[in-house]
Amino acid sequence: MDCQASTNLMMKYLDNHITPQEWADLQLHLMICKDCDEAFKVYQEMLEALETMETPDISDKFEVRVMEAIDHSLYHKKNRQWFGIREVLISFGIYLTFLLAVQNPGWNILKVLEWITRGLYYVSHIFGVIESFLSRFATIFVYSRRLIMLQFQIISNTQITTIMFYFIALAGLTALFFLIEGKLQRLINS
Amino acid sequence: MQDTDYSIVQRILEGDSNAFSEIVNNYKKAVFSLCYRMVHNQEEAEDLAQEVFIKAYNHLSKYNPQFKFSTWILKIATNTTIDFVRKKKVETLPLDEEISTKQEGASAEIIFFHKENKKTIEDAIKALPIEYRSLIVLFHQNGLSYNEISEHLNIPLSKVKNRLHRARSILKDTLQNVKKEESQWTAKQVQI
Repeated sequence: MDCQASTNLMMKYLDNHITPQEWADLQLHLMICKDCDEAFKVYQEMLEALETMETPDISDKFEVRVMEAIDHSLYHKKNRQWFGIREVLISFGIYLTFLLAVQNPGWNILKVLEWITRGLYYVSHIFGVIESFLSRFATIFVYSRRLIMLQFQIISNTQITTIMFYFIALAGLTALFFLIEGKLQRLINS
Repeated sequence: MQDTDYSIVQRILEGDSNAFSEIVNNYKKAVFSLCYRMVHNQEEAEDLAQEVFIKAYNHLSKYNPQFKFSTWILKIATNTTIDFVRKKKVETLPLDEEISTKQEGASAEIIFFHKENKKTIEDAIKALPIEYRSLIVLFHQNGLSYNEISEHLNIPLSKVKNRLHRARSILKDTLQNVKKEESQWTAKQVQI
């Protein structure tokens, strides 16, 4: 065995991958080669020193420092404690305004209803644009919108009590809010 | 512990940020040790360890539970420390240069005349280029395999092996020189 092969075996020894036969061959070479023997002794010393080298203790306040440095709000999810209430309140608010408005004797109630229907009809067109953009999830949305539009159409063309109309329209508007919010939430989260 | 670590990570991602203190407590020694062995300065090592934990916290959503959490965080620690050392541009031996086998002058002020081998080896490690130093620390002091080191440092396996052998060779030559200088110095003292 030459010194180069001996050095390779020393590396295998340091890797802890040397076989018993290779170890025996290395020992034989070290007995006859003073330079390799000296080098091997240095490697052994080096290995022992590396494996037993001590590190100082970390300071006691390290954990506190880290916890103070991190952003605790990074993974906070907003609690939806009032799920649904907000949408109902908004819808109710819109219609309460109109209810109070139609109490004014100077207002023509049919005119007001016509404005509401027309306004919601235009709004539904805007939703139609959003709907096409969200075409993957549009199936349920399309049928809901058509259902609501049909309701408006029926209500505006036939004789029906004002209160019933308001309730149906309110329910439709609330459902619409829920759908839009849910879809946008899913879109944002994805 | 792997399942526990993952369950802690899940809790943190669901909003319980205080659970991160458990992870800090479990891994602060390992992370600090690795940083210290690379930079040999307690204050710098603590700052680096803190930076490692902050990075880990900010990227918790990227942790893949198929791998050990310890592997993941020590990888962050290794890369953070290497980046720090490179930016600091500490004077070390050039990567491919052979070290000189003779030390100029036998002044007692040179720390290589220190009699304790551990301190000598520590200084020799500190003088290694970071690319070699990281391998010595990861293999001999952190117990990582060649494959794990290759993954940690994102370098080919063959390069890991060659560089590690080279790093050992440099350390061995440095220690042999110290011993020669010490014996020469001792011989001179005896003559006086």
